[in-house]
Amino acid sequence: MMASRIKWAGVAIIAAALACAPLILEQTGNLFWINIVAEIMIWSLLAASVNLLLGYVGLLSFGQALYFGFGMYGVAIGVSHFGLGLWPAFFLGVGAASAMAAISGAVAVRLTWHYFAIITVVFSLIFYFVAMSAKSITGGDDGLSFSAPALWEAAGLSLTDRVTQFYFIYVIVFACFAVFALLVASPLGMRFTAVRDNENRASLIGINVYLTRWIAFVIAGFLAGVGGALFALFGRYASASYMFYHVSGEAVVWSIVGGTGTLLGPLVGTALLILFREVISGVWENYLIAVGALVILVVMFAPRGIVGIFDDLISRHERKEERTESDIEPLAQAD
Amino acid sequence: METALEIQGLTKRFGGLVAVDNIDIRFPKGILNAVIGPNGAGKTTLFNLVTGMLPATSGHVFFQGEDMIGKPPHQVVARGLSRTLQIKSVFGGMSVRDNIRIAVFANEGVSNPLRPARGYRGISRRVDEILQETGLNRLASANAGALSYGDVALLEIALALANRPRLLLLDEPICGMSPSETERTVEHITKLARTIDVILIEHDMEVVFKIADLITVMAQGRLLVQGTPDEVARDDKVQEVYLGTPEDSE
Repeated sequence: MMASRIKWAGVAIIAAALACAPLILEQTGNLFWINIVAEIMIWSLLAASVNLLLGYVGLLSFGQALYFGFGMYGVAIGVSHFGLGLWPAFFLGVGAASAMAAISGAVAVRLTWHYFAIITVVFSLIFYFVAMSAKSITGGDDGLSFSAPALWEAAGLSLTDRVTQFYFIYVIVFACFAVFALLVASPLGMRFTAVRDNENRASLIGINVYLTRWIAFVIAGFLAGVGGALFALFGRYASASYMFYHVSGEAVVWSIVGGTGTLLGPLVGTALLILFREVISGVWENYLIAVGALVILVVMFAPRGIVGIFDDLISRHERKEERTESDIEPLAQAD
Repeated sequence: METALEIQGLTKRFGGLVAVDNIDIRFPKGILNAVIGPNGAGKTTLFNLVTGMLPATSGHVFFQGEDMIGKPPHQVVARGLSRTLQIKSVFGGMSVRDNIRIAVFANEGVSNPLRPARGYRGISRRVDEILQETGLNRLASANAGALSYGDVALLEIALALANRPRLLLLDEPICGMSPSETERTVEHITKLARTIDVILIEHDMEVVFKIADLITVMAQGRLLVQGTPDEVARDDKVQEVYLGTPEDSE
């Protein structure tokens, strides 16, 4: 019980810190950083999408950027071609991403391991090239720009205000992580873990492994879609370049560094590596070498990522306490 | 006597190798059935075919009047036919209690994806019941990956019981157990067999001849003999496959 309390305290601290971030940054005159933090939150959804598949169902996807891209284009096309307002465009983007995940997932989750990784890359490549060539709809190489629709006209809320935009993103990202936390603790979440741990055994206790993987895949597509829709509204722009598997690969790295199979690992990993990029790339253009070294270190010494290290520390501490409490009993029971 | 499981003309070919060769077996209801046979006789393959883990080349498997061939494992389980595996495997990352909890949930159909799994009272009660029944309650919060081999085997049986099966297939449940574990598990299996139909694959002849009511002997993918322990013990063909013909021995 102690361990879960410490974990929830950590979650609360991070949520509170993010909530205060724009106010503090505004006071200290670091307006530029408000957008960096907003961007971190958005990208953390793409990392969370990778994490759901890799950390909870055991599927490594190198194609989550495809659904991010669908979220982006849903918003951009909704606003610029159909003249939709903010929320309809947002739901169009998220809906398009989820629908795409439902279709491609039906094929992809028949496979596992490297076959699954390859097919996710193939899907994202196909749609990358489709988006590149369908210039009249997607803007091709140039992408699609639009001006942000009002958030809430009557109240005068607009995304052009940095702080308003920040809180708009914050609330949605917070909601996504809250749903994520509920989901993985639910019976469905247990099915995910069962499929990840032991596929054969899972099917022998009556779990439909294929369906379970497909559900996870659609939810992962949804998360990536929310991220993409937010990113389109944030940048007033959609581009096929965000569908490329480079972007997916980055999300895999963020997720692994932060800690797969943990709630906030993706957020921590994304924050760390984006901050790293913002700080180091100005001074050293080959900073990706350092990122690579960092990833190797994490994979070798902390396979469950940065958040995983904390988790292990907490549970080790808890076990030690348990042991001192009930040291003698198990010895007496042993036969 | 009623039938627990009826196998008709079942065949499985792996390339040129015929692992199960046009077999017809009827396992009667209400008794403890055992399947024995030398290595490579096709016993485990038979279980794999029955439970949908391997596609059959041809044939039928009737369970409660329905053909199980062509059904994926989770659908076979859903109809009340559970099994354990020869190579024991459980969910190593979870506690024993959570292992059983997920197995109970798996048979409950769709559940609210936003409600914590630990909050379901009825499920928790059933989990406690199974822990009690199998004697695993002393290990309820232990990590399943750290159990002794005998306890993993017990947990496997517990998982198989989670969906209240009508027929339970046990694949070498006591293989690799210490004598005290064996004794406990054998006692447990005989107790189980009073309430559900059990078909047991086992290499330990002492155990098989002590607890089985009906023994089915397989050799080289074929049915050799089916009979009571006494009949099987006296059967010349059985002695031949196990001990070899006199000319073979030196």
